[in-house]
Amino acid sequence: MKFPAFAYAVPETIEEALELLASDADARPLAGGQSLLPIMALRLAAPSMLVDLGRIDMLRQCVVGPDRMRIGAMRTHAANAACFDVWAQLPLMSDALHHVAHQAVRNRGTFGGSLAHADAGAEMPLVVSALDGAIILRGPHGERSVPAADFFQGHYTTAIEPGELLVAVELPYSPLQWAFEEFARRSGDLAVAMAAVGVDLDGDVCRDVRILLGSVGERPIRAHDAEAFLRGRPLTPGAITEAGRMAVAGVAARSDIHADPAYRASIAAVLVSRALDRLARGDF
Amino acid sequence: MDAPTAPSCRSTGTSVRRRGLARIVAGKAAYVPDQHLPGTLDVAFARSPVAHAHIRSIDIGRAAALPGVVAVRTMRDLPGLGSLSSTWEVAGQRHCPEHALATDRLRHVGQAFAVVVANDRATAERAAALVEIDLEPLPALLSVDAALEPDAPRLYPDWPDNEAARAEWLVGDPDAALDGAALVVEESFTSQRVHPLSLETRGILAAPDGEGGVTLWVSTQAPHQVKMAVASALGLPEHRLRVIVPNVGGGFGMKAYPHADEALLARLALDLGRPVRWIEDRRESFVSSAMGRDQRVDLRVGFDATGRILALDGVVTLDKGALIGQSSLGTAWVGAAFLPGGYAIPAVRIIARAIVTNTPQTGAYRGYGQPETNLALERTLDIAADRLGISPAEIRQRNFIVPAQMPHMIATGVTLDSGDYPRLLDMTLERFGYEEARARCAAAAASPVRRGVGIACYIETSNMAPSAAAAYLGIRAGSFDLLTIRMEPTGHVRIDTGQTELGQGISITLAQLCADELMMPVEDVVVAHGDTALPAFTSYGTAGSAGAGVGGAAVIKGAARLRDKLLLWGAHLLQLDAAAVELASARPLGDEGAPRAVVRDKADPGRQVAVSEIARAAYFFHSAPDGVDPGLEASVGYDPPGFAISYGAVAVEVAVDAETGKVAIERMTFGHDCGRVINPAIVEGQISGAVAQAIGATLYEAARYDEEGRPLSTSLMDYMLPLAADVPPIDLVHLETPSPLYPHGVKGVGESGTIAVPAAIMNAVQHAIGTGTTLTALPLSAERVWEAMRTTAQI
Repeated sequence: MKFPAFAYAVPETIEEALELLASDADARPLAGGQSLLPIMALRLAAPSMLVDLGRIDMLRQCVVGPDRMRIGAMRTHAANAACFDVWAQLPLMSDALHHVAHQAVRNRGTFGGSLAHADAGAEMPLVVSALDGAIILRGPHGERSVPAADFFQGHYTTAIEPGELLVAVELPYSPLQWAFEEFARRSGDLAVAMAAVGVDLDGDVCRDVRILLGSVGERPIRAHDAEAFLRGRPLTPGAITEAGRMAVAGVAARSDIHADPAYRASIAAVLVSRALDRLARGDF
Repeated sequence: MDAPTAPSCRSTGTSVRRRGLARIVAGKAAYVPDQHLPGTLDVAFARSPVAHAHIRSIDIGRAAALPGVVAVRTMRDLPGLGSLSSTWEVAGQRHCPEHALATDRLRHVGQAFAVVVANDRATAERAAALVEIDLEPLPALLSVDAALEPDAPRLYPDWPDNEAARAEWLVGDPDAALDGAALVVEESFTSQRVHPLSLETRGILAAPDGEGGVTLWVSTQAPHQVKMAVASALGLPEHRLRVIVPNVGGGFGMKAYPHADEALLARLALDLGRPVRWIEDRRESFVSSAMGRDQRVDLRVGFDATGRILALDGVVTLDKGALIGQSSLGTAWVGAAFLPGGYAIPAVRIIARAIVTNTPQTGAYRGYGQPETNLALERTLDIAADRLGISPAEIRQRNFIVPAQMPHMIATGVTLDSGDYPRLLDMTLERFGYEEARARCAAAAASPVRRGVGIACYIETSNMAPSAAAAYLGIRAGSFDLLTIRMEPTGHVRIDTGQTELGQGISITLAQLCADELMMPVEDVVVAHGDTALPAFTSYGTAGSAGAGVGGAAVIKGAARLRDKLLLWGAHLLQLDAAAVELASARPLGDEGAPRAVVRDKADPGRQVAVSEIARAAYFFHSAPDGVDPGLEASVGYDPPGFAISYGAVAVEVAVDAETGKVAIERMTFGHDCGRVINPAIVEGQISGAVAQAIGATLYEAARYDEEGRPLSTSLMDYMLPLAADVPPIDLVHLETPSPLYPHGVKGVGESGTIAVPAAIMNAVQHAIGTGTTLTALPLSAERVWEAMRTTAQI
């Protein structure tokens, strides 16, 4: 199919972009176009104007601080995957980037675009949630910071208000050791389920732990019960299996043509256990 | 003075590089959308949102008023535009004329009911969405079971039920044999609906020729059939139509038959006096082109205590979708006729039937019904072997038809022409390391990654039956090829063939056969194809794994006739009797260059004349042999003498993740015999490509619909083709038993890779997970395997 007709603008500053968005309620920012353009080609979306963010240099900046990194929204997945600071300070993100689609998509798709699109099966929303990041939104009245836990509200649904632009993400450096596990039907597909698991081990005893499930619900899910169960416990095979089971207990998993809820939950439990097993073995 | 003899320059049997590959890889090949004619208008269709409804009225007013729209038409606005009849017509078949646009009823989601012609495709799409339709919904039949209910509504009110066609075979007394069997295996096997999915979708460009005729550029496998069908639907004499096939990005059977939209585009071009173009987009291809497979095989097979098959009783049920024009019962018929495979089965009853449902039409897809029935029998053999305590290899060896029995007519009337089935299975298993692999699997029985080995054997129909037999099968076409071979005045050769180059490499294959026949270098032969204005004709289209067999045999016949003319001319120029000369390949004395074709004196090989000199003489015609026409040309027709039956054996080793059900195909050995191999690289390419498609259909692909009959997959984001990483290296084992029926010994190979791979993988997965739950349905998605393992664990 062909695109419906739309206007196209290429601002060079954030302010200009905000003005364009404010001028037209049906305008949408274009941030790589790896999801929006196919949706438009299928005529499932028909924005009146595309505001291409590709020429705003500010949105590609990356600021490496002593305890956190601020990554511009228009950094591509490929740029982040090749970034030494991301590899050194945010290994979870580095790992997860290997699972994002295929190289051609990573070359154009952007970090901010993926977060704003908020596909339940995408990796970056899970990573930002796992690391307790903050999403920086700029609107006509200035900037605000929204914690990941509040930002992702559902499949394709976020806290971005009309007229606002996602400009950057702040990710604190985690003291935990992380493991990322994903199950997809083929390599590069959106996940059927994924798990991001971080631990702080004293010997084999779990001093602290953080477990998040992706693609299981409409947005990243934190497995509080499983975390509580593991705190203070040694990571024995039995505890690892039990933690996986607890992570999905009571979770209403979503359903699509690739997996029904029971299968999806079962896979998520397996992934949590596999991540814990890797962490227990020091394989991260 | 030339040297008496030069080294052989035979090109058959060598992997001569196909021409034009670099252009294809560089994206410079020109497909239908790359044909640019000034003033071309774009076409889009308004398509049904529902699976079944009466059409009360259609309002094109808003669509027609959109700026940029040139015309909007419904069937009512196209008086005289005829329908297409089915390409297969078996005895007792029911009829539903296929119109390009629905007339009074919509029978599947996506069925076109109006067409928009506009200055560009985006406008045409926008206008198509503005065509308003008033519907009276009818109950939708979305499965064969629903359509077979005794009180099911009928898709076609003038039919007594929803069965479009049926065929039956009965040999011996299967009931008595089953009653007396030591073991009867009874299961129902399902091959799901898949999309043939050529990367290039269908496409049509139609342009008026200014003299009352139309030229069509079509992405098709069957230009001559398209020409016939369009002429018939338009009421035009055929010489007013010309069909050109530019580069084609795959067909796989889905493009093997005419479509009603081809006639519609021709009609619009004539009515509007301008070129019109429709390029099917990926999304609509899920409703506007025929899907593949979608068969269920209910099978009962009786064995004696040693594993010998006593009888087979099967029903092959094809979900035909809402229309039958794309080969009608064809895939079920062929699936049923080849169901017994290469095994001796004394008593047989098989029914093949096609049932209509409110889903898009199914039709031909590489394999043409054979993978579906192969799955049923090859799974049944494994189930029986397990219950009888013999190995899967042994049960097959005990039932094979052996070389001493060849040629052999099997119970369904198909004659196996040649081959050594037991030996090829042995060769395949030896290369694969079958016994060691089975031991390795047993050792992994309780591990988190289970391992399994599976085998399956197949036979493949190829080269088509004689035209007289095609009539018996109900095919509304012949099986023959007409072609012309012309030697140009420089001594170079041009073949005009009716076969179509779809990317499979038929042109170089034909060039190789011709070059060898005329003892010329293959570079001196070009092949022209894909144009009905050429002096050539392929009756059935490039399908049925018949290109190299039938098209190739026609080339050999034409080249032989041309060789006779060369000998006449050579004898004339050498002032010898025609019986005293021969064609040879020779290199001029002291010349390091390539050998050339010469006609020479048998008694004195030094006395010779180069074929290029003969060609010049034939086109000057200053002095000629008695009774010979000017020029050097041969036009011949070749009707195939019978099916050539390829066959093979597949062995695979899989790893199954016990926690997720995910299947990884670790390796595959593919043994096959397609008779004489003309170009090994092309044969390997055919098998590898077909195996990739078979892996897709076995593990990933499924064309499914929601409860309203709407397709759930409409793009490559959600229709899961296998990716490069999902296809293992394929180890090929070749055995060459030339078909005695064909001058070049060729059997077809285009569909071989699709047939036994699903059964081999399913047998391997079953081996890996143990026999608690019997696997019978495709695809083997991770979820389905996980479910089977979970059920097994609970038993």
